[in-house]
Amino acid sequence: MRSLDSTELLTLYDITSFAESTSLPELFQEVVEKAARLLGTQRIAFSVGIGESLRFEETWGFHSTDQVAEHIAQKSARSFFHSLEIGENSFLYLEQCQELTNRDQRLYTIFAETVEDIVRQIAMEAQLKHSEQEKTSILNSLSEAVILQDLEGKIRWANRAAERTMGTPLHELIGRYCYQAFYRRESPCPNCPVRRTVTAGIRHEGYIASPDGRHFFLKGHPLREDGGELTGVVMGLIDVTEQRVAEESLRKSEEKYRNILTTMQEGYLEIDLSGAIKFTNHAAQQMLGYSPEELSGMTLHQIAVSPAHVDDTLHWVQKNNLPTSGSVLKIRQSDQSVRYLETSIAPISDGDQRVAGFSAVMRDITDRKRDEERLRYLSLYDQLTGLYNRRYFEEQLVLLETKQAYPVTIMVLDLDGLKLINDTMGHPMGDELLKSCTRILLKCLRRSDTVARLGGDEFGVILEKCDKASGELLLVRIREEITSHNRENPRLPLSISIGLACTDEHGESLQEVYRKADDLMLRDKLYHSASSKGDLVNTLMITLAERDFMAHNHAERLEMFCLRIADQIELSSMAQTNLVLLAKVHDVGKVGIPDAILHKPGRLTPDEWEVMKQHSEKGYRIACASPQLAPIASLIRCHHEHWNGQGYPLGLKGNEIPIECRILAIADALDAMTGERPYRESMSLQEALAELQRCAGTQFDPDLVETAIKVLGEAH
Amino acid sequence: MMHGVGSSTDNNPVRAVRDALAQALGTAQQPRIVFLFTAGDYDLRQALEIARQTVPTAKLVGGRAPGLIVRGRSETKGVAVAAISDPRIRITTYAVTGNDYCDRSLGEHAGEKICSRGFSSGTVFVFPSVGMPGDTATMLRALYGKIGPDFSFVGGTLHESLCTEQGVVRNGLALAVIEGAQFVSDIGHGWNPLPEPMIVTKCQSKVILEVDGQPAYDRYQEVIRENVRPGTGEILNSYPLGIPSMGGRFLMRDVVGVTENKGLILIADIPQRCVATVMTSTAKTLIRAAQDLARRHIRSHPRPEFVFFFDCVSRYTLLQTAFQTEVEAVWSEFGQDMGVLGLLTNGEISSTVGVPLLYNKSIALTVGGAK
Repeated sequence: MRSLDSTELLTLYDITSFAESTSLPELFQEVVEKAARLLGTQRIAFSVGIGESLRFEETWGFHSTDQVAEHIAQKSARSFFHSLEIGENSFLYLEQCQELTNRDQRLYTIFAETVEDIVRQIAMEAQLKHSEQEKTSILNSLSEAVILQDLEGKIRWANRAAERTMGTPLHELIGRYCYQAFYRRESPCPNCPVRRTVTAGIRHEGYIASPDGRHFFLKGHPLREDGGELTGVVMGLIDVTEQRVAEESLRKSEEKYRNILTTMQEGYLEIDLSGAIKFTNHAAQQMLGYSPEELSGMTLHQIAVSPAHVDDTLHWVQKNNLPTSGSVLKIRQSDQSVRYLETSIAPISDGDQRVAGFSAVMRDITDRKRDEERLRYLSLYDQLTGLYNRRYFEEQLVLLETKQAYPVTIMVLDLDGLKLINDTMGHPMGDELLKSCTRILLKCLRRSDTVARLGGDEFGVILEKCDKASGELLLVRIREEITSHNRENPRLPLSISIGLACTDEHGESLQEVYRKADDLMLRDKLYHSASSKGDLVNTLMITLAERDFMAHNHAERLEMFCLRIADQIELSSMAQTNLVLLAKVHDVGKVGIPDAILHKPGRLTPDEWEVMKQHSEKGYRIACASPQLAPIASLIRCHHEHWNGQGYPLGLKGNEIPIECRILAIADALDAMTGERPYRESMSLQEALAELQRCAGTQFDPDLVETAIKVLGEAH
Repeated sequence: MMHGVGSSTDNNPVRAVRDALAQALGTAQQPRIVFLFTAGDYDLRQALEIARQTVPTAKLVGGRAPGLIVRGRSETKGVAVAAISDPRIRITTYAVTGNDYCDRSLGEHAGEKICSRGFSSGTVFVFPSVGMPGDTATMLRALYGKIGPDFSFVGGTLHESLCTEQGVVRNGLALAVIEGAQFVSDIGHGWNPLPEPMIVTKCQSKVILEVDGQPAYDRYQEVIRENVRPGTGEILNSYPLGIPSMGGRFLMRDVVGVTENKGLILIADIPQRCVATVMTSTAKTLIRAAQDLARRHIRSHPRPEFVFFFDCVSRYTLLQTAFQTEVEAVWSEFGQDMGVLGLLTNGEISSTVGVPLLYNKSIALTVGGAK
């Protein structure tokens, strides 16, 4: 029985104790060392094939691979072949110089199995490493920087994106604090989400700005061991500098546009496809006349006067994906007032370029619209009478030629003496006359008839489907109405010249018919113009007499005084006739002086006196209009001229003043002084003559004053 | 097989080389190969030049050795020459500086050179320098790995300078392959393990950091204290480590220093997780082992004609005056006609177990003669 061989134990231990080889080449060197030293091995072949990731072939003591195959095939008694059951074509071949004993066989088996265990371990580690390489490769392929930090905040690993992002090689990042490596800080960043992850043990994310103006988005994911203990943090980092700059730019832009939206005078609103209002600016709220709260539950259709118009517009924009511009939206405000909004509607697209809603920019054009309507009204209507104007009248003439409205009768009317009324009694009286004429015409005509004021005192009437007989009946009716009016308004009678013409069929120009009617009107005016003016002057004189009650019998007294003087100086009979007429009507111009001045109890102010002085001129114009008074028109104008040239209106003096006027001036003064006035008591004849004497040579003709004193004194 | 050995310790280096060559060539005219070694402050380059002039057709291999063993004496300076002149043998030499290689690539490169020159068997006389990069044992395995078991190996680690007929190289490798002659090699040391084997739990190249999980030097001292009564001599030199080798032998490893963190510095690599034992010896065991080796070995060759003898320089420093006794004990086993050339080396190389291994504190012998 053999005793225990301690060296055998040492050998046994040694052949099973390998260093921690991490690769097959290292293991092979160990195999060679141990086999050569402990087992006397002279040749070794080692092959491992595990998939694609782990392949290794190496020999020791052979000259060629052919020699290896040859030796293995020989299966010599000096050789030991061990197939490694860990992969294809994996084996360990050992060969020594002597035949293998049982001991050798045992030791080789132990040795080979030990090697196989180690190969298996290396294979696992290789697979693990390969897997880790894959993971590393995946992490390195990410565009997002991934950094592994320990709990202290020191960088333990970083992927390539981190190197690129920070421009720092990996070996310079490892072991440094992230705030040093990435943000060039000396202390942790305030509100660092990664530090919060360490503190709270849960995921955090946020933004960090570096002192050089770069911005980063950080995500901190807690890294835990299997037992749940927090061991570090995986930090995801994205350089969002450009994005933040763009966002800031967008924010400023939005703020700018929000300010614009808020402050702009145009209304801005956004609506969805159903027309529901989603957003309005202040101007829009004002234009629509509703509060934001009220608008939030409304549709544009509810506000629009014509919902169908809104529907059509929105449908068109959605269908064509194009904006409209400048269409007028008529809306009704909450107080029911109507506004006109010039509206441009544009589509709002979603991410797929489909129309998801609408934006509208609105401008309140109500005032403009009303101005336009007023202009249109003014362009077609006469402002004073409310009748159509000449333009409309002439357009209708053209238009009617294409219409089946024959027979057509055209009536032209002209107001007689309007200028005289305007000149003497003022334009308000003239306007009143025109309105009276209008009322009569509207009263007599059909609603379908066209009545227009063609000029100052001229009216035109187009009677569609009206023959001449009907027209003449209508004319008669108008005259009856005028007569009736004059009865009720004797102080301002109406006199109208009328011409009427008719056409029964196409072919005759309505312009021609109009001219015919105009001619007939002029003929009618000539026919009764003189009588009508005379009537008018008489009417004015009556009116003057009614108004100037203080001058009652004034004309008769003047006539008497004037004739005495005229007789004394032997004035011609023609001149005496004119003097008598002048004494009656010299104040006819006072019909145009307001009652407040004419009947003022006190003295007139200088301005009022200026108005009063106009009666000479007014009287002159009235007289010119009257065939009976025309011969003395110039006398009427000069009856307030003074001998010394200080009178009015022409400032004549001496003998430049007609003799009739010089006589009338003395007679008028004498009557005035001896008659009662609202502002003073009457003088005696002696006093009055003395006053005449005093003013002789200044106001009055001295010779005539002398004559008058003589004649009147004798008479007294 | 004609052979000759010569040596000189003449202070004149030129004269010493010429004298040694003259001695060797006296019995080996027209040599095929000349082994040229110097020791001390002799200039190897100058010696090589003289040798090339003297035997211009011969292959040359050699280098500077820590010491020479000639005429039964160890010398720390001088020149030693061995010449072989047999027309039946084929020879190639090769030397390379180690600057461009690591240990493994140096060995592989040398092996490929041998194969490329048409040699398929023979004896490789291999002389690494102490300045060779990396580990000599690894270089030897790589060399063997390329040329295989049909070669035997013998040699020893010399100082920095090596040479062949091509010139002098430093910190590399010089070798000569002789085909057609028979060389028998063996190795012995006379060291015995202390009965407390240890596990090298952490090592790095030539430094053992931990043994049995403890600082290597602490555990080393502990084993020595518990098993022997250390004398006053140097502990490291007296207690080398041994690692198991084939056939119950121990591969000796010199401990040449201690690192600051109590690591043991060896003269050669040691595998991690191998078993190591502290070895102990006496002058008697060492000398007896050397004499037994020589006796046993000289008988193993059928026609022994000359002996190459590589004795570890640490045995010289350990045995001191007793080393001469060891030399004489070995020398006494060789016949008077036997040409003997001995060198003191920093490591001994032998393929006694079939593959070349690097030994320390050992004596390697190879006996040559005709086949």
